[in-house]
Amino acid sequence: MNAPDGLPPLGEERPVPMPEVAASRLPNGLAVQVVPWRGVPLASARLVVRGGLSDDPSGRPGLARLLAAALREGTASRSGADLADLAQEAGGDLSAGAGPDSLTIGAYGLAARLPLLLDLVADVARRAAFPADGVARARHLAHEELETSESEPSFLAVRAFAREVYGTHPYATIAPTAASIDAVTPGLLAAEARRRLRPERALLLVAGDVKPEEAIAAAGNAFGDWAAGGSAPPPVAAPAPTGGPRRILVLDRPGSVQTNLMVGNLGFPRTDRDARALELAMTIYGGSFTSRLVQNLREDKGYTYSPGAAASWLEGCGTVRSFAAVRTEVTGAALNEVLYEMERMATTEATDEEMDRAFRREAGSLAIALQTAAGVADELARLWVLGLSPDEIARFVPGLAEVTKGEVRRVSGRVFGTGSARIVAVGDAAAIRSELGTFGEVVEGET
Amino acid sequence: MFEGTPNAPKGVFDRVCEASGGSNNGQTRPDVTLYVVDAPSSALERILFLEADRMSGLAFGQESLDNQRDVVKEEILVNVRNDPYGLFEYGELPQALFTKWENAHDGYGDFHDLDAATLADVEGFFSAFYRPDNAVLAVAGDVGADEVFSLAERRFGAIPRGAPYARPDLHEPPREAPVLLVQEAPLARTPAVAMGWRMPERTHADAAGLLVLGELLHNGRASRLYRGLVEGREIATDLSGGFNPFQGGVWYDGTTLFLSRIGYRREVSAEAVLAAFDEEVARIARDGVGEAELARVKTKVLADTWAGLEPRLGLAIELAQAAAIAGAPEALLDLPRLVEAVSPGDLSRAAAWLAPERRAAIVKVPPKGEA
Repeated sequence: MNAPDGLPPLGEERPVPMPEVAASRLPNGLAVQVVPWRGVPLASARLVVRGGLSDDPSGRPGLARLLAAALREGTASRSGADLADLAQEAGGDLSAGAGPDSLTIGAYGLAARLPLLLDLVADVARRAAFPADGVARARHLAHEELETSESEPSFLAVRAFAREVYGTHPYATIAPTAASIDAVTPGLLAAEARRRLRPERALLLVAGDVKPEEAIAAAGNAFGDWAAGGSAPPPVAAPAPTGGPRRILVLDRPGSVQTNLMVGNLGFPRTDRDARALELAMTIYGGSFTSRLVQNLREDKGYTYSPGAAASWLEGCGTVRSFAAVRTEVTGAALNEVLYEMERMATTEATDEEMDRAFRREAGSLAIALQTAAGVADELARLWVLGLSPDEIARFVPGLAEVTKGEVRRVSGRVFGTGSARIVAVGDAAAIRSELGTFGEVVEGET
Repeated sequence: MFEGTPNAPKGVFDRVCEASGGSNNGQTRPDVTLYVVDAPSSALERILFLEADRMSGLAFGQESLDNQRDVVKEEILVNVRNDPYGLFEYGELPQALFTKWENAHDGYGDFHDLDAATLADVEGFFSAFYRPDNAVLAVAGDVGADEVFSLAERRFGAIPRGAPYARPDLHEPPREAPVLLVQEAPLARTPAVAMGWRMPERTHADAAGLLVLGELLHNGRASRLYRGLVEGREIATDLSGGFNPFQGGVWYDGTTLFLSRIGYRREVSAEAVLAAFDEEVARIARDGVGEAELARVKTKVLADTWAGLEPRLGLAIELAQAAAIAGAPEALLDLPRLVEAVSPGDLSRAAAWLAPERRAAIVKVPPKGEA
């Protein structure tokens, strides 16, 4: 890069305050992490439980999401409306969600109301009642949400891409189906809650304007006598590559003015020694505005508004994906550029300038993410689910600084294989199918 | 603004930002345009250097205009034409609600408008508005005030003022007749309605009540519309909206809109959704709101305000909006007091602004046979 005349040098680097995590474990096995983080008079409490969509029994796709959606409909002693009123009284909200590897029940609000926030989280985790009317409504809302999501091409692309990459593994499912929604009953949800929500599989995270000893005592009051019942879900094996040559799945969305492209491969878990090199590689490749993919597709060619790429980390595996919503008429040209940039990463070294820019961008992003208590809690929750220690936050930037250009190229070779890439294109099939055929085997699927 | 300057050609701003650990962006809002950088504090001086450089003059050229025109067209394709509901509350509702062009027009423009924009249009806009006496610089973070003031003086001090211009009068009185537009949305699978009302000026005695009313109606599972329409009548599926939704707080010039967007069940009619909404609002206008419920909602409004100010960028944006619109960044500190002072009577008065005859509403329905 040619620096402009007179560009001032970077100023003094100030240290980024690292969270000081007070970690403890209750006798029932519940892990507790408390992070005092002052700035605003707020606190969040969240219970993260191992096992999410990956623990859904076969034949019940998306059950974890349906369970999360129904959790707030009431407990043994409180109606859903009572729960919502109390959360609002604490200045916050009560949430429940499911990801591939975890279920999360969270409450945030004024730090002074932390005991109430913990009480709400504990009540939902331990005593959810699944009233028939609440479950019926949750079912209906899940149908509507599915319908709405299915009208969005980005959702269709993400859902299909998961199936392409993960094959028969539970990670292949990211949402329920109409049939699995219909099959949900209060009895099924109660049994699933008992099976999955258990102290020895959970982390309670408290972050905000709190004192660790008070928060740990309040956690003991809310969760100390929580006992697991029945047997826990069995462990889930890591997914294996689906194998075979490059394959292009086309999903028809007649009338679409754009094609949503997603291209990627199965990678490796965050615990792999190449994980930090991959973070840098992704930033150089497509994870920042000045990355190769964005500059090529958006700034140079003008094919798309918001292309990008990301590595996602799951328990036992990782995935690398590129995405872009491009004008229908440049679908083939855009895919060609994506494959070209993937190959370039794997076959040539990054420049020193790219390496330095990516390193600083990653370090700066971490500093920005750690500005808020919620950002700190998000990071800690992610690490815990992946089996990494809270110290990883402080180790991240020094570790990145040691990554070499050779390592970035080598790791790119591991994840950017274009010959085995899984490709999804959601768009006007009649307009794009023959063009895409020049890139490999085209399969047409149902949206 | 993203196409470079004579000294920092296209791409340099982005590269310097990212090479300093930060990122940059821009956003057009109804009354202000924001240019933001979120970066480690070590980048402060070079960021101010780059911002002052582009306020001093851009590298205008036909090529850069054509390129940004294409970028905006792509943005419209992905955000508008490929979206099942299009611009809906962001672009279509203001056109239905307001009369004055400044309040009503779609900020994207259509492809015809974009193609008609000339270099002279762009240069004229830049020289009229992008000048130090029409801008606010807000910096929040691990920096010292004296340091920032002296750097600002050094980098921006020599940029000349612009010619005086008269702000248009943006006030619009409440509508005297309702508008209801029903449209088929070919890519949508579920119906939705977006409705809006014209709001009084930001210093009006009802403004804080309207802000709290927006939360009382929409925010979370304890809200009146969730209780009344998602639970209760079981006709709605998702809700969003509130007072001044696109700028937040009481930061707007002239008028703003009060928005309610409701996604609803296919078997329900739009008329039934509007009627249910009107019943909920009429109940507040008639019966007021109990002290306990009002206290809960106000606590939530304040906690959400704090949460929004926790990231430094959020704090800087709020300070800049307060300074640009209210004339003083300290106005931000008045917000908690204004919210705390809202009484049950204020909410009844606020609810009267949402009368059905003053409403503009757009209904989007999926094509028949899609069910």
